[in-house]
Amino acid sequence: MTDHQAALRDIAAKLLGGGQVATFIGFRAGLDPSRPVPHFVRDASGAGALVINPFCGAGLARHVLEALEDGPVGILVRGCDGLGLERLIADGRVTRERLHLVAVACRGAVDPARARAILGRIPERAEVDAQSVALIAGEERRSVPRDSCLLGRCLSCVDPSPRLADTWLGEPLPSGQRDFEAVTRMERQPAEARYAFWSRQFQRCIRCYACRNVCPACSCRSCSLDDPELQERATGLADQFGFHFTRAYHVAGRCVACGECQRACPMKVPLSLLNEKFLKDIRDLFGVADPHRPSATEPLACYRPDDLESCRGEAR
Amino acid sequence: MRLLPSERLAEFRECLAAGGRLYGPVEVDGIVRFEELGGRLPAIEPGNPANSLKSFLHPQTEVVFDFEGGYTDVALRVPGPPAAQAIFGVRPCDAVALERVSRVLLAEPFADESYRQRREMTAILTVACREAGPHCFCRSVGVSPADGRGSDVVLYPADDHYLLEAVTARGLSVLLSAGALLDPAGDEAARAACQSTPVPPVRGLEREDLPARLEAAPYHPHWEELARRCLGCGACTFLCPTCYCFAMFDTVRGTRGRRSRGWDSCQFKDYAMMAGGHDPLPTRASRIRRRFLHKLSRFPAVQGESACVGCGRCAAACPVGLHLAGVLSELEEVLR
Repeated sequence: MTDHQAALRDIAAKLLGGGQVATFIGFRAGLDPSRPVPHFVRDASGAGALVINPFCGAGLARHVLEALEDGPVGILVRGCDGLGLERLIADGRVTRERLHLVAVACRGAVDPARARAILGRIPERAEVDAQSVALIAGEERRSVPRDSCLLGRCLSCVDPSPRLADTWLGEPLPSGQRDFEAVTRMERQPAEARYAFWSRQFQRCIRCYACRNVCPACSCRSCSLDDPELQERATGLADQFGFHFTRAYHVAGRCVACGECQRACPMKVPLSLLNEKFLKDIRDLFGVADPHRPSATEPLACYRPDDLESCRGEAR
Repeated sequence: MRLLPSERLAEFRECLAAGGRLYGPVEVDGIVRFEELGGRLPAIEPGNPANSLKSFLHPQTEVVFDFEGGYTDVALRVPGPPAAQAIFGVRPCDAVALERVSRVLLAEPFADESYRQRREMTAILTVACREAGPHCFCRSVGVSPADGRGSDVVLYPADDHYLLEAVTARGLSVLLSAGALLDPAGDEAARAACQSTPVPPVRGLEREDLPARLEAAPYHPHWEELARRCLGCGACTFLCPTCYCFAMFDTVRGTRGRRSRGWDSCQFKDYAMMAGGHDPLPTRASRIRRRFLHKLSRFPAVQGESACVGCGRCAAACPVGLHLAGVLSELEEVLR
């Protein structure tokens, strides 16, 4: 991934210089090398600040909403970003023509906190392949299993490459099929155990709404969560269940499983697991093979007159 | 000065628990946060638990009163006074933060009664730091890893014991109640070790002209740059141990209802919305600027101290790396 950095800077500079886009969204170095931050390049001379490496963890899709106010947007797109953009396009929030997608295949992003804990210091570089992750700091190079230091959402990722692209950096990687293994494991537990698990998770929630603000399926201009009459701000357990179920139902059928909610959560509430349950149900109840990939026939988002549950009798 | 042998930590915990509810840092599902300790010992690891001490004195939400009735005859039901509690395993920065919050919430003539009652019923037992956590920068904001401000008792860890020092009268009575467990001895080395714990500095934060530099650049384009990156969530403010803003809200169901108060965040849209529709903080850039100016310029101007204690929670939590240390480092480059 890191080898594409020069090409990325070059493409961004050309897009900005030629006036094709007003903003290019990518990453630049953060306070430490293991924490790059989303970056918004506004002119060709700034493209040299762009970086691309396995520490680039944040999702970029949501950022196009505000950037588009200044004109067309160029954006670095991994599989998860691509699905997020597809969602925003399908929901009518973004038009495809105003985006220039620079695609790259991603093998997973390193969680900087876990990497630091393993290494005992801040890692300077990382190399991720299909089997393992190499964490590098100074002369030290340590090879560790993927599940020890990648972001949780990357471990279950089956979309390393975006489906939409205008320019490719390197070659795409093949996509897979979600197996919903974690949801299946949870479904097998007795109700009391599941209730105890979710009670413990939701209790931690501080209602900062990072999950909502980062979600490409949560792009409403005005949100019922901001209205205390509709969603009480209280943080008792019942209120927390109320909040998380409401949000999960609101994104049900539109969640792209990008896992940004879980990555953004400062309290590490396993929100992906909740959303995955809905995805699995959509697969099993409606026969949709890949329920997290936006399509023209999403069962919860389209109306069919011949639907068994439609009210066509009364309508006619 | 008293010494508590490490093997008597569980007995010391029981002694604290006898005085009321007892909270401390514990690791559950891989996250260290303050919770009711129960039979567990506090997880004393470098750095801070995810949630901050303020949650126990200035809760995220609390009931002000329940009401029932019509237009003229409204019956109020006010919650009873808070119960006694102790927080064991606090870090010095968190306790200093509480002292900063108290300056605001206890300022006369409008002292916050709910906060005052809780503070009086709470014993804060701080464990000084032998090692900085991954995001710590307390020394850059004038807080020391051995700071006693805001604490009732400070425990200085040594290899096989803790040196205990009572900072307040409340702290002294805690030590008296645990007297049988403590050895009447001193250990200056334990305190000195914490006093000299190295903490990496944050670039730009130690500058004396920082407030003036920030105030001089209210429309610098970098605030807009930060606004593009910011998601507008409230994670930084809700986890910050010195953020104290709250809002009141009523929920009414028929003739019954509840008035609650709960944390509010200056990063939320409509935070400053006034009756009549004027919003002095209408853009994300204005809200981000407000947060940093408040912490580093406005609060110090009024209170004489920074409203950042260097706990590092914003750095650990921000989903897009827009935290105090990072932003200051960026501003160092762009404010010339």
